[in-house]
Amino acid sequence: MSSAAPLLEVRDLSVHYPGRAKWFFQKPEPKKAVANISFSIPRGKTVSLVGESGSGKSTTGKAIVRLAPVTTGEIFYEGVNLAPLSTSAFKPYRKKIQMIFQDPYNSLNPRSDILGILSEPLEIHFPHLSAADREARCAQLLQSVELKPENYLRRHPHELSGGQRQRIGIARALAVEPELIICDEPVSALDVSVQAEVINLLQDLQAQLGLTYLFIGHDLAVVEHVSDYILVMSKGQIVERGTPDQILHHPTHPYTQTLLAAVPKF
Amino acid sequence: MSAEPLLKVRGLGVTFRTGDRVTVASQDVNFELKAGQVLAVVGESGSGKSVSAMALTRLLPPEPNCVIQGEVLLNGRDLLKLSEAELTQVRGREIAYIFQDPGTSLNPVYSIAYQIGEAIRLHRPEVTDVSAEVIHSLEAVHIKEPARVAQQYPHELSGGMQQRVMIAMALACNPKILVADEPTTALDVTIQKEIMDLLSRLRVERGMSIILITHNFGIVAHFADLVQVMRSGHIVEQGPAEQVMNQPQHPYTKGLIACIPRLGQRRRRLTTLKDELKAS
Ligand SMILES: Nc1ncnc2c1ncn2[C@@H]1O[C@H](COP(=O)(O)OP(=O)(O)O)[C@@H](O)[C@H]1O
Ligand SMILES: Nc1ncnc2c1ncn2[C@@H]1O[C@H](COP(=O)(O)OP(=O)(O)O)[C@@H](O)[C@H]1O
Ligand SMILES: [Mg+2]
Ligand SMILES: [Mg+2]
Repeated sequence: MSSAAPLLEVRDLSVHYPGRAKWFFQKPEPKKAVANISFSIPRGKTVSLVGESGSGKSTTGKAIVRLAPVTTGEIFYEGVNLAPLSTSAFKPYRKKIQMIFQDPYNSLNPRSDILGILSEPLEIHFPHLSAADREARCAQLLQSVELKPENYLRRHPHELSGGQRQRIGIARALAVEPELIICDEPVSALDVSVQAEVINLLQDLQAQLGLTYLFIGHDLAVVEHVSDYILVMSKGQIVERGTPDQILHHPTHPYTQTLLAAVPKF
Repeated sequence: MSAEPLLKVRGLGVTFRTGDRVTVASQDVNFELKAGQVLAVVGESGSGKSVSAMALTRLLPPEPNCVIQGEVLLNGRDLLKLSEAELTQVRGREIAYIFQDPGTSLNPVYSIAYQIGEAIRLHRPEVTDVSAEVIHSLEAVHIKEPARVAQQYPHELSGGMQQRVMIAMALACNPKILVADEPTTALDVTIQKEIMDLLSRLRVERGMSIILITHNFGIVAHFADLVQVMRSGHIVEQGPAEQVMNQPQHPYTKGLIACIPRLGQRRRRLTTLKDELKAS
């Protein structure tokens, strides 16, 4: 990793979700989803979180964009600690940091067409754009995710395949010109053929736009392919970290060894 | 393994009609399966894998909305000529199904014991001690505390555990063929491996045939005797697994295999199906 200051640095992050009591006389036990993790991501690089479901990967990503509560710890973005910022002081970072999800379907308004879906973040973050400029920008965004604007601007999410929906999810994230994108299992629900196209697209965009990725996945073969650095999570903690080569060839934690053994080889 | 195939499928095809839209979901599907063999069906989503598997026991909407052609010969008897009542006996008892998402196939309001018990009562009326048989079926899928799990409800179990219960339910009736439609797609890799190991063991223990629908070629290579590659409703290539995996003949099969990221390869760019089909 480069010695330059990282774009993002997470220090001792813990996330506890408020728990539910099993019985009325019990005190609710908070759910400790993430426990004291630290890592950093250099600008322009891809750092991945891998681990089984429930290990705290999504929670880590969500805490960075304030979709999950930061119980303790610090999240430095270009040296600024985001954790204590007020909502208004945090607003510029909403633009710099975007998140994409496994199936963007749930987060795409079904009644809106693609033009409407891509316009929404533009209206919030670039209110000065005229309607015509906005439409031109939407067309450009579709081109950047390799979809023909004339075929897609007027379509609705339910008319699209999983791969096309993921491209729309990526276009929407790109709309606000982010620097860091948190990719939460972006290809886990896709066929291998579509998965390869979306991964290539993410890598092309990274090269063109200098994007930084926090990539969340559970398929080690995919994670190894996209990453500069890998963090292995288990039960809310980072149990191992290293370059793809280190993780693959010299795994030290038994959990990493289990994950590796489970990847079918042929 | 007997020489005579257990299942012979000839010219199987499925056509859906909705309004004036006609969808040919699968066409000209031919294959044979012997007792104890595993057939893997691979292909992109929408290629007709599930529909073809459901057509084996007419687990599809009735005519005229859905028309099934061809023959499905199980031990020489054409299942597609049977009445609905006769088919009900075949489903579960001779050909059982498990699906991708066990959470939606299990009924949330009944205990595991009740649901497995119902399957046994329906298909094996001769069984007198149903509760003992329920425990036995949970032991068969290597669940450690069968008595405790039997009393639980679906939401209290993890995804991997729910899939084990689905398998237990499917196997409680001793089917000759298990159709497993993407049984591990929704599960973590480590749990995926456990479930596939379990299915391999059960197949050997019971001499059961398995039709495994998957898009995971790694699983195919480890597990299948035969492979069928489907594309837009057609089988473009089929044969012994080793042959299809190591020397794929059809450009589409080559393309699908080339797309898969391999551990340790660190290619700069993944091959896509389009690249591969263009090159051929
Ligand atoms: N909103 C929430 N409220 C309570 N618990 C949650 C919430 N979201 C996630 N969890 C719990 O936190 C743990 C980590 O979840 P998650 O970050 O989604 O894991 P992963 O993405 O690795 O699958 C899990 O035990 C999960 O059940
Ligand atoms: N009930 C149905 N009515 C109309 N079309 C259907 C129905 N079920 C499936 N299809 C269509 O049949 C084709 C094959 O689907 P399916 O067998 O589910 O694909 P796979 O399992 O390979 O992903 C698809 O085009 C699908 O839209
Ligand atoms: Mg997650
Ligand atoms: Mg299917």
